[in-house]
Amino acid sequence: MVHKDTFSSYHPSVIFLYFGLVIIFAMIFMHPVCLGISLAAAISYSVYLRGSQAVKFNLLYMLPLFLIAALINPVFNHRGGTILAYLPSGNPLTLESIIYGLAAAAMLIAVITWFVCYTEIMTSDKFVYLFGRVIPAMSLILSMTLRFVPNFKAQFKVVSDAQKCVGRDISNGGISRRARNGMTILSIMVTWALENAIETADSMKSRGYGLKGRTAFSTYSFAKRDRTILAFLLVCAIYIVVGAILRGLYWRYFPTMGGTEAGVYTVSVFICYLLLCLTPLLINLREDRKWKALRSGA
Amino acid sequence: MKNAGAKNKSIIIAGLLILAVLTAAFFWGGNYSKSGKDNGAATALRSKSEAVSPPATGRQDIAEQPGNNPGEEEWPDLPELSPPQADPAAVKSNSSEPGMIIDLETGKDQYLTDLVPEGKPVPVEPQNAAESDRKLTCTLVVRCDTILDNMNLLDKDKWDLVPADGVIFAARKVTFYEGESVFNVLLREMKQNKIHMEFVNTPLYNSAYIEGINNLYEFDVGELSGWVYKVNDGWFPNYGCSRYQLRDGDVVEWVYTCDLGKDVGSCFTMEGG
Repeated sequence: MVHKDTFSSYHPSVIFLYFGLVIIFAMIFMHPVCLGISLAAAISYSVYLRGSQAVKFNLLYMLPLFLIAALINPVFNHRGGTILAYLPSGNPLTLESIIYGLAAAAMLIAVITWFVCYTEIMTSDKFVYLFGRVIPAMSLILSMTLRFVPNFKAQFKVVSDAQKCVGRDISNGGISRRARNGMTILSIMVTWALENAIETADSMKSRGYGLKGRTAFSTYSFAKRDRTILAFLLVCAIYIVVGAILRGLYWRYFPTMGGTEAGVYTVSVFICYLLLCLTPLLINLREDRKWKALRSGA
Repeated sequence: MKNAGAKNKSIIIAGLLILAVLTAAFFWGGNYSKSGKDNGAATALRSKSEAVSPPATGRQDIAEQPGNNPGEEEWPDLPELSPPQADPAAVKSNSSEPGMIIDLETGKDQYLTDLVPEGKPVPVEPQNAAESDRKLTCTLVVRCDTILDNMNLLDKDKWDLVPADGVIFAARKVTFYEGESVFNVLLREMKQNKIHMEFVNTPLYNSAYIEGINNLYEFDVGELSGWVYKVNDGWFPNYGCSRYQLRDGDVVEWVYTCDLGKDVGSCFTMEGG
C-alpha cells in the first residue's frame, strides 16, 4: 500500500537539507551501526513511499547488487589480520575483507535507496524553486538531467505503442526484423531527446528564465512546522558531526576490526543519527495517527 | 570596456586560484624529502649503476653466467639464434648454463631487467624452472626494523603490527625443493606460519610483487616504502623474486625499506620485491 507522504509537503529547503544530510552521512560514516541505521531507514522510507514496487525493486536489483558487491571485495582485497583460508591464487582470504565488502555494499545500497526516496520527494519544481535564482543554468540542467530517464521511458512507451499499431514494434516479426524495428525506435528516441532538450532550453529562455528581476509563482511557504523540523535537523546534524569529530563513530576494518568502546555517549550519537534518518517516517506516522483519530471521532 | 575588464579580472583570479591549488598540492602531497641533497645522491646512484652495465653499441655479445664460472669467458663472434622468442638484436650464451637475452637497443632483457652484475645468478623464468623432489635448505628472514625509526609516518592503526625488535620471521633454515624461487619459499613459509602476505603477479616483469607482509604494505611508511629482498652477501637482485632461483644454502632476507632501499643498504634502487 502506498501512503500519502506528509514530509513532501514541507518546505523544499527542509527536504533538501534532510536528504543532503542523510546522503552525506551515509557516504561518510563507515561504522557498522551507522550503516545499519542508514540502510534500514532508507529501505523502510522507500517502502513507505512506493509500497510493493519498492519491495520488488529492492529484491530484484538491490539484493543481487549487494551480494555481488560483497563477494567481489574479498577477491581483490586481501588485507586483514584474520586469515580464514587461502584463495587458489595463493593470496589469503581474510575475515576483515569479507566484512568490509559487506559494509561497502550496505553503503552503496543505502545511498542508492536514499536517492530513490529523494527523486520521489524532491521534484524538479522544488529544486528549481530552491536554486533557480542562485544557479539558474545549473539547476535547469540538473532538473532536466534528473528527469531525463523517466521522461525517456514514458516517451519510449508512446513511440513503441504507435509503432506497434503499424506492425513495426520490437515484438513484431523475426529477429532481424525486430532488430531493425528497434533501431528505428531508438533513432526516433534519440532525435526526440535532442530536440526536446533544445526546446526546453528555448522555452525557458523565452520566458526570461534566469533574468534579473524575474519572479516566479510558487505555493511554498516557510511555516512554523518547517522551522521546528529545520531546527531539529540542524541540532541532530551538529550533534552527530561533533560526535564524529570526537571519534565517537570511529571504526576501523583493517588490519583488525575495532572501534571506540560503546559508551553512553556513542549510543547517544547513534540514537541521534537514527532519529535524523527516521524524521520523515516519524512525521508521517504521527500524521497518519492524527488522521485516523479524526476520522474515528467523526 | 567595463565588461572586458571584468572578464580579464576573472581570468586572472582563476589563474591565481589554479596556481594556489598546484602550490598547495606540491607541498601537501607526498612525504619524501624535496631537498637538493637527495637529488644529488640519486644522481650518484644512477651513475654508479650505469657504470655496471656495459656499453650497448653495435652487435656485441652480452651474456651473464651464474657465478663460479670464470673459465667460460670465450664467446663466439656471431650470436647463435636460439629460442624462438630471440630477437635478431639479442644475444644468448652458447653454454649449457642459461644466460640472459639482452636487447641491444634498450640494454634490458625481455622483462625489462638490466644486466645482472658479474658473478651474480641470472634470472630463471618461473615457467622454465625445472623443479625436482630434491630437498634443499636456505635461510629465510623477514624484517621490518626500518619502520621503527619512522613510526610517525605509519598509521596508528598499524602500530601493533610492528614487532618491538622489527623481526617478523626470525632467521631459520627452511626446506625447499630444487628449482624453486624466492617467492615460492616465502609464500610457503608465510602460509605455514600463519603470517599474512599479499602479492600480485606482474606479467610485465614476469614475477610476483610482494605488496604486504604481516599487513604492512607498500607505501604504508611514506611513498618510498615497500618490501625488497636481498640474497647472501647483501645483494638486492634487480629482478623479481619469482625469477630468483634458489640454491642450496642461500640466505634470503626480506626487508622493509622506507626510502627506496637506501636505508637497507641497496645501492641499486630498483625494487625487486
